[in-house]
Amino acid sequence: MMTEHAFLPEWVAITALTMLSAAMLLALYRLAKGPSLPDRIVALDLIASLTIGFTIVFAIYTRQVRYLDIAAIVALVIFIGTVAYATYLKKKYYD
Amino acid sequence: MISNLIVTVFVLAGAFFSLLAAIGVIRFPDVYTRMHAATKAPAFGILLFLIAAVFFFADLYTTAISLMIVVFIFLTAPVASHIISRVAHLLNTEIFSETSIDELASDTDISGKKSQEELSDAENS
Amino acid sequence: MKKIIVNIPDFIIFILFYLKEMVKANLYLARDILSPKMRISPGIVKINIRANSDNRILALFNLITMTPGSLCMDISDDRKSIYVHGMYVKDRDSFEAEIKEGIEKKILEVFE
Repeated sequence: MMTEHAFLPEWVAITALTMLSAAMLLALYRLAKGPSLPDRIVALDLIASLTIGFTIVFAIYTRQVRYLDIAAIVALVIFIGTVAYATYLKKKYYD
Repeated sequence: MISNLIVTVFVLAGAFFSLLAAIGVIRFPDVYTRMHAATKAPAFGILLFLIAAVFFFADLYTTAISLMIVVFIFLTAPVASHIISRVAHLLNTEIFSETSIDELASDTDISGKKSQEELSDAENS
Repeated sequence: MKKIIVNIPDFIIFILFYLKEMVKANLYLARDILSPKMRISPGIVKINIRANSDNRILALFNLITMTPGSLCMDISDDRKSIYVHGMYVKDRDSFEAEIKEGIEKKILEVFE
C-alpha cells in the first residue's frame, strides 16, 4: 500500500543529523573531562536524550515507522540506567 | 505543501535545541546549572522531533507511540534531575562561586545527611 | 478509585499552560547559553509548600523543573518544604513568592 508521505528535503535531514552529531561530540567531551562524577551522569543523560532524537530523525529520513520503536525502548531503558548510577553513588556515600 | 514546511521547521528547531543543550552543558559553570540545560532543552527537542514525525507519517501508530514517548520523557526527566542533583549535593560537588544562597547546605532535616566533619573524616580514613 | 484531577477541562487548560511555560523556559535558556557574557546568579532556596498529597507534590516537582530558571533538588523528610535551585535568584523572597503564587496555586486548583 502506498501512503502519501510528506516530503522532507534531504538537506534538512543532513543538517539536523550533523547538528545532533556535534551535540553528541560536545556531550562526550563533557563525559571525558567532567570534573566530578555527577557531571558525567549529566553527560550520560544528555547522550541518551540525543540518541532518542537521532533515532526519530533517522526514522523520518529513511521513512521507516518501525525505528520509532527503538526510540521508545531507549527512552524506557536509559532512565533506569541514570537512576541506577545515581543510586550507586548514594550508596557509596552512605557506606 | 504546508505539512512539508511544518516537518522542516520542527526538525530543524528540535536539532537546534538539542545542540543548545550540549553547548549549555559545556559552557555552564557547575553541575546544577548544567542540569538546567540538560533537562529542559533535550526534552523539548524530542517533543519537537515527535511533532515532526506525527506530521510526516500521519498515521495512528505514530501518534500513539509519540504520545507514549512524550509522556514518559516528561514524567522521568524531572525525576532524573532530582536524583542527580541530590547526589551531587550529598557528595559536596563544587558549586559555582557566584551562587548567592545555599539553604540546603545549612539544613539538617534531610534523613541521613552527614555533617561536614563526618564527611572529611570519611575522606581521610 | 481515588481521584487524581479535579475535572477534565481544567486539566486540559493546565496542559496548555505547561506547554507555554516549557517554550518560555527554553527561550530563556537559549538566551542564557548563547549570550557571550553569562548573566546568571544561581541560588538554592527552601520553600514551604501547601501541596499535601502525593499527586500534588509530583506535579509540583515536574512543573518547577520545567519552568524557566528553576530546578527542584530535594524534599524535606516531613514533606513540608522543598529545595529549589534557581537560575536568577536576585532576591530570595520574590523568588519564593513567584513560585508560590504562580505555580503552586495552579497545582492546588487542578490536582486533587
